[in-house]
Amino acid sequence: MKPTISELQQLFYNALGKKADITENTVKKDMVIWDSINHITLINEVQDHYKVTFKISEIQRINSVKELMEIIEQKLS
Amino acid sequence: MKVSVIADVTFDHIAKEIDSISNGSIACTFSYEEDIVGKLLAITTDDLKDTDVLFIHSDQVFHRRPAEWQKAYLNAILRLSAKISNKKILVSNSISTGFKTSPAKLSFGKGFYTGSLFSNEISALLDRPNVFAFDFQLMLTQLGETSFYNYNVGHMYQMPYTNKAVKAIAQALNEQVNWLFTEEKKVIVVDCDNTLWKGIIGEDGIKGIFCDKDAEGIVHYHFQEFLKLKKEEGFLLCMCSKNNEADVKEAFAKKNFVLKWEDFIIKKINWNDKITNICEIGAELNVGTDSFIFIDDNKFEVDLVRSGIKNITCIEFTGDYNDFLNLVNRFEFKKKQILKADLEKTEQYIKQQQRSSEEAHFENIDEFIKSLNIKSEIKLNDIDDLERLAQMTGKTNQFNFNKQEYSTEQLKQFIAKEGRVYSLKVSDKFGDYGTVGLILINQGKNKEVILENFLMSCRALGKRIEDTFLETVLNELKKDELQITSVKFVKTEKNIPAENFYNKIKNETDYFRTATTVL
Repeated sequence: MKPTISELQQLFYNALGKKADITENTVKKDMVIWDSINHITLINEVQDHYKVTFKISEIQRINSVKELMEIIEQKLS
Repeated sequence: MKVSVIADVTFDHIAKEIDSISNGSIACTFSYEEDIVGKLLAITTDDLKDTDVLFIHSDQVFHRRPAEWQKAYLNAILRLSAKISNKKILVSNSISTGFKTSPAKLSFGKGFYTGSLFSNEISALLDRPNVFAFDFQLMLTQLGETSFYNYNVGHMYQMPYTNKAVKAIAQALNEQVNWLFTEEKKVIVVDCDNTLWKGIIGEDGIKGIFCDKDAEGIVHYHFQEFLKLKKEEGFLLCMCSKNNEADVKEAFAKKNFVLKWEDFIIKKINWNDKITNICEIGAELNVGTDSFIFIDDNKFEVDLVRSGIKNITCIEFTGDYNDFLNLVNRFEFKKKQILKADLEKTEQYIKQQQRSSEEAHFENIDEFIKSLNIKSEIKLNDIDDLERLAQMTGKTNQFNFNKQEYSTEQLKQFIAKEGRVYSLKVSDKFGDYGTVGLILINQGKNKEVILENFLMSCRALGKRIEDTFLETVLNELKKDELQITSVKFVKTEKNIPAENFYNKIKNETDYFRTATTVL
């Protein structure tokens, strides 16, 4: 199963607030509000929503929407 | 309100959540402390100048600290709480047993470091009047460890909580901080049918109502046990029900309830509307209805009372066990401190009622007062009673010259700076009222002194004891050739009795005619 961008968009809104618009090409360092504090909230949202758990190395690796989608997809397959 | 947080986890998320649920009324400043014990020992009063509450949270479940460390941590809090006795301190009760598996036999306790090695430290800590337990353990139990913690994220960012846990902690902290600064509730008013028991007595009869350990009655049985405990802690129980009094009385006589008919000091069992009944109870007890909790199964009654009486707490009793558990954990039911005087409260109010009913037999009030055989004892700087006196400064509303609150420590300091603390104990033929009056006299220049505060507990009012008390204190001051030149009086929403008294003495006593009111 593949996560959709609209599902992720909702999780970004939940975690980072209403202005956190994303595309598949969004990169963490370009998005000011996607800081390390909000990153934790986001990871928590994603874990709750897809019922998956990330390893420490995976959390460190997520630096873009694309990478996030890939990791979720791996977990769900 | 400003909350300073000292924690060994990252607090940003919780602080942000609190800011949003409290609409900005609670602001947290926080610091992440790897060495939380060192930090606690280093803190000074100056660091906490602008702080209203200090919240200390070491998450032992996450860090799994060794026992010696936890002991040092508790001792550090104890020392700090003595150093900053004028600040309220909230301590989270997280515990750890490391990776030890549970022993075969567990001990059961009151939830703060349950059955732990540290019972001495904990009881010393909870004895301090400015320390309060934050029930972290309860939240953890309710959500369960795996939905509460996110260990992988936690060990990376020192923020181990799931979003659910962050919300729960923030919610509880918000409620408890507000509770610390609101006045305690004093009276619980309950409905009967489908609240104290399952069923409707007037329709189903004695055989159709349930309050026992069987499935149908269990929530009501436990509710009665809970109310009994609250009564022992000093709450006054009252009944307010649309029924025939004879029916309800019969239920209490024939059913073996946890609560007895006499446990309720006022019963309003009639067909009047509940707002009227509750206001009458307030008038009879001489307690403001804003310190009432009203519990009823009927949503209509609950909404009616909520809309009709300002600041009363209204709770709908649904009969669902989960809802009941939420009710039990509400802060309105918690006492900040339970003193011996609280434990005797119901008894004292019952005596008060006997006094009132005798009052009716006498032609005039002077004759009645004479017949009471009032004995009063006035003490100067009674160190042993400071705790009760400090509690009075926080709890007395009606007869209180300026609502200035003092902690036990502050009263001690007041005495140390040559201030005088006069306290009044009263008893009469019906029994002992305990300590009911306080006058604070502060040193001024030369022989001039300031009436810093004057307060009387409402249960002692109306017997002219306040006049005798003041007169005695004035005589004492005259002996030392001291003159009161100013009186600190501030009008509050509730201190009309104090205002009336002050106006009276200003007009009647030469002594006060020359004194000025300072605000």
